[in-house]
Amino acid sequence: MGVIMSGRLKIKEIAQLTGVSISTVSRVLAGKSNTSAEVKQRVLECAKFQGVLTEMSAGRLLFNNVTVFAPSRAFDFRTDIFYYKVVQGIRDAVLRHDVRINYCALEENDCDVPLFLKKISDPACEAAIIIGIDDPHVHEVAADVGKPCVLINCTDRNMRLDAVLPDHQQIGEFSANYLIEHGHRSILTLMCVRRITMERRLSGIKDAFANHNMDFDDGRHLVATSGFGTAEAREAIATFLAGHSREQYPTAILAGGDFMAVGAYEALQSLGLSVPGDISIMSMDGFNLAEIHDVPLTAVHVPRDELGEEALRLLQLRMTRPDAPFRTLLLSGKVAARSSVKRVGSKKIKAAVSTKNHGLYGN
Amino acid sequence: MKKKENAAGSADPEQAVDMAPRRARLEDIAKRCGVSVSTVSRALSGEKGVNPELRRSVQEVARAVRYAVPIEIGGTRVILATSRAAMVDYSRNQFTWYVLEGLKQRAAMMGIEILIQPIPDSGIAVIADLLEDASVAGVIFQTVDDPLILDAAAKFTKPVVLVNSDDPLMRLSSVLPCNRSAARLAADYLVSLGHRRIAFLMCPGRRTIEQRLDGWRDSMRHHGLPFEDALTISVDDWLPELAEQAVTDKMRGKPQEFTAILCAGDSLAVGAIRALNQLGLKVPEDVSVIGMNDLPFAEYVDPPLTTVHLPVSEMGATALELLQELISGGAGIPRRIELACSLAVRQSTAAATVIDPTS
Repeated sequence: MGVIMSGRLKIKEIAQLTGVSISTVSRVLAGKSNTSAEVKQRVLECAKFQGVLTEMSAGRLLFNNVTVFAPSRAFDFRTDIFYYKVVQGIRDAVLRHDVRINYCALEENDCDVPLFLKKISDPACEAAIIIGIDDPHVHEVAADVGKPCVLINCTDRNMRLDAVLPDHQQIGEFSANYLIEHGHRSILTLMCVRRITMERRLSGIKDAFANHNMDFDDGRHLVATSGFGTAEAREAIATFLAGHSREQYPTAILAGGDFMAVGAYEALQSLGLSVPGDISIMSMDGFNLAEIHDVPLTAVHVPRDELGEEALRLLQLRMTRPDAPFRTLLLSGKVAARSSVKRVGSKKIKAAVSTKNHGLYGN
Repeated sequence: MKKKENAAGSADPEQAVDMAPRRARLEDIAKRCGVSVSTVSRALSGEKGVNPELRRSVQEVARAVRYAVPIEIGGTRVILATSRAAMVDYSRNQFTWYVLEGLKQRAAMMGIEILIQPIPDSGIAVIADLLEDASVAGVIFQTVDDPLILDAAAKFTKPVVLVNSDDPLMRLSSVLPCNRSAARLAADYLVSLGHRRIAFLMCPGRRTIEQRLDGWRDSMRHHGLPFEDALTISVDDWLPELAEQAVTDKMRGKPQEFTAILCAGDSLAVGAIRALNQLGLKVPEDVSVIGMNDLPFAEYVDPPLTTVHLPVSEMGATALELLQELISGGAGIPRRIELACSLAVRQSTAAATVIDPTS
């Protein structure tokens, strides 16, 4: 039958969910035959959901070896805290299980595909997690090899692999909407747009502009950096402002990360500008707020620590139901409204397409 | 009414609570209603096969003897709230019907009963009322875009899942087709056939449809092909007649500007094909047409329609699974689940014979 049974399976839950008695559930799971086929199937299906999928701590993971493929910077918190924490999330999620994690560093693009093929084909690799790798050849090989494989923070163009990511597009749209609903009509986006995930975020930001009949012109509304660091952001904003007169300054800066927001803040400070008095700042990130003392930063929190566990649940799902449709999980962001964004203008700006008289954020 | 004891000789508290007190109370209720204990159990757990009136009187008596129905046992009825848009889909092309079928099949496997409730114009107070019932564990909203309804739903204390729409404020989870990728997939396919000027036909308005427009643009951008507004054709509703009229208006008496049309829905593709035929153009020889949806009628179009298969019945099943996870406290952060789509290649598309009709 292929059902993994564990003494910790929640018989009570299964009984309640399937509407059969606890003794019936016990009988079915013990493999006794005196139950109707329909009830048996119902109980077993539910057992798969309950015991195996719903709670990792109760059910047994269906694999003992998983290989994590990621850019090398993911393995050092000094070089990429985001991915480092994602890997940490994977480790935490398998803590109570008998699972060995192997690691393999790959480039984001132009990967060593033969190396990838060798590692994923290794019999010791029962399942694979690929973090932040955009190379479509890697995705194709992974899909062709056919072992359970999940992508974190990247997607397969051909939709042949499950994936879990923050919902970059909606986070971008939500963040820009937030500023617009606070009256800002002149918003400068400060982002590192190197990867497709960040393009999605920018796409969301542009959607928000379009919904309010605001033009988005890359030349006027976007400052692109090569990374997420403070110094580069500070210089980029300083350069931008130096090239514009005071009247042309934005009323708000939407930054692609907390440290970038700090860089923007420092650039404004050195020009004698206050936040949010003169210019509002908002970031899409939210993990480093405690470390930032200069200004209580309003941020949209981008989910990170949950990605590892969700990836493992997707692997589990793929193994128990290999015919289930491939899916992409897009995890929601959440706003932490603190005090770096000020409302400007006397009227609330309503979305041009909405005919209802309401503010999106209830304030 | 034995208490199970573990090896140490003391009662296992979980088992004791399970077996002893509850059985006594079920028997009380059974006696008062003049039915069997198993009937009472079925009535309270929301299982099928119990006369609704009997169910109600069992529930009354249960309340009267202060029988505490644990919240988990109530997790066997779920509301499917349908919008007007969903019902229009239902009558036109059965999109809604297939979502419902998938949902019902999964529900049967999980022992869950679906209550279908159309959403009245007055709002979702009726849904809120239904949710008061302890046996109703959550609600699935189908094709609901109204921000006021989403606001009200976000305040429900019981779990909510959206099907075929999403919450821009990221409070509610949803299950959707991979709209953007699906359109991109279709456009990529046309490009692989050699088409360089591809029009996009849609009924604008819904966010999910705007995502399809984005997908077409993604593909054109990726291949360095044009995606100006002149290549988009809009209609006000998902009706073949409107598509036929719009395509005719676009093309009649003008030099041919495109060699393929990507239609955001199969119903529009049907109209587009008619228009092309009326203009003396053959499909696919002169113009390729590709649709989206792949509902059964696609096979019976003349020529059989190449389209993108949207996993409609899986959407229903997945929504129910997601709701189940929310009910049992499994899933944490709200999420959108986009289900993969695939190409169904039939006979309405072919290699481009003219590379650039405008040259």
